[in-house]
Amino acid sequence: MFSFEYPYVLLLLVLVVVCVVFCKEKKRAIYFPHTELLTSLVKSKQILLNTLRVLILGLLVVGLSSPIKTEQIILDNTKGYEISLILDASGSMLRFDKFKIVKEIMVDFISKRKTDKLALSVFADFAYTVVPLTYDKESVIKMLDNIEIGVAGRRKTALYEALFLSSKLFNNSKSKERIAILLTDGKDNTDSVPLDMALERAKDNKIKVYTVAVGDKRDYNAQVLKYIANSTGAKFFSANSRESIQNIYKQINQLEKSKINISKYDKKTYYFHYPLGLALVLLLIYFWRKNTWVLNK
Amino acid sequence: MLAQEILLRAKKNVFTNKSAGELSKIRGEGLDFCEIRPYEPGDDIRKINFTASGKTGELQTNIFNENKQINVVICIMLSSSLHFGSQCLKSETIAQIIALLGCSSIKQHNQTQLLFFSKNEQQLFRFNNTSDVLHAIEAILSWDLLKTKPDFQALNDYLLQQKKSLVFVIGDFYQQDDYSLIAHKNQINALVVRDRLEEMPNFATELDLVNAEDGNTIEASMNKKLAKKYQTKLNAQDDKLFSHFAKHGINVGKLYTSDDAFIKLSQILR
Repeated sequence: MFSFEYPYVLLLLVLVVVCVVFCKEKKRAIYFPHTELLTSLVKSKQILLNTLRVLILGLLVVGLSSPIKTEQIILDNTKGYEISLILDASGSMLRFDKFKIVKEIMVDFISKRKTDKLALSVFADFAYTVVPLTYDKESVIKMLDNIEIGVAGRRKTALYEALFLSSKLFNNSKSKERIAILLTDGKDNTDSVPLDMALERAKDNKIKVYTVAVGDKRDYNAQVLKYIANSTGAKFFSANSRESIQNIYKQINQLEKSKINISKYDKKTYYFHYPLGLALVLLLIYFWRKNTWVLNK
Repeated sequence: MLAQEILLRAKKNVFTNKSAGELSKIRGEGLDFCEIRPYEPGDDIRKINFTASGKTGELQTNIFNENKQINVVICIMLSSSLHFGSQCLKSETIAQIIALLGCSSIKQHNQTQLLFFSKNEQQLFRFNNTSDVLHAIEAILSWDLLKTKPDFQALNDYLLQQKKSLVFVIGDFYQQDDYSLIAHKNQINALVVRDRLEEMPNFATELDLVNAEDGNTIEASMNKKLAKKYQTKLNAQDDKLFSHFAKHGINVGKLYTSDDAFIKLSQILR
């Protein structure tokens, strides 16, 4: 983010303007005849010199206020959480506006996980990874916003395939805290990946898979979801209202609280030399245009 | 003290140098020989030069400059720009010119008057003796020239009312005025008083230049290039003025503050 380290110094710009208007340079003065003719000759030069003066002083003030670009740097990735969000995008999620509600809650959740790596996967007829693990929350939120029902088909629910695919994202992970949050409103009805294989992969990669079931109890297989959660050391949640889904994500957020604040720092890039350098160049032009007596001899 | 010094120098120059004796260029009766030219009907037969006629084989007549008492008007165009000078002020050079012209005129027993023309004030001096010249010199040296503007219209009106005169208009001539009417009636000599520094203002230092007329300041770091540009523009203005003078038969000469006023004046009015 671009900002100034000492923004209050910019107030000096007002002083610069006041000075240019009111503080005239005191020089020796003589009476000179026929200044009308001379005025017409020096007018354009005078405008140029005044503009240069304002620019030089303005740039010096800007340089003094120290323009900086701040970036957040994570020192040790292994201490942060890596969270894979797995979202059911089958046609059934359209009922009772579940998909929209879940998306809103997930956006809120993502924005709270400031220091964690996040990934996003969706599934319906098949599963695919929308965003791999990244610190770029803005991209994850943007992609989540753009996902609509039907992007991965409408009729089926490739739940295990999604778990398997999502687990693969952690293959090269160095983090000790690996989490997947799997949200669905249905049962797996494809035979692309068996449950055992998906679960095995999740266990191998030491992933805690929180399972969240939304909607009618008859639609999803609570036992399987509970089994997945328990086998990976996580929890199973079920909800059928906006508030309850919100609470679930809050609970997960609390359970997996990030403790790595000390491992990040703000990297400041200083840009004061650019206005100062430009001011120096303008100063040289000013001297050249001014034709001081040394140059003029 | 300065006024007396100027007058004394002028008196010394004028009364000891014969070449400054004749100011009139009007041809007529007199003893100041001008030229020999072929006789024309109407010429005075007493002025026939028989020696020259014998040599050329046709009648030749002597022509003299008029020697009768003539009316001399010295007009000083006062302006704030006269308050400038590198060696001495332009107003001081004008005081020297007044002294020289005044003394010459008194020597020849001409009717001489001097007028200062400025926007708000006019002052008239009649020169009967050198003490009148001294008063005029003192007047110009003590004149507060700052914020003074020249008044050409007053000069024009005054000279049009006067009888035919030998007129000296003295100033720095920064205004482009029309002298055609007064030149038609009078014999005019324009004396342009300038300083070399004002025509080539290469100060080689940073100075604020103040307009003495309105007090406005311009910040001009004068250098050789700018000074040359200024000089070119000023020369163009002067050329325009001088061609106007030439067109109307006005004798013009430029005196610098560094010049010897007596020598320069003798050259201009020869």
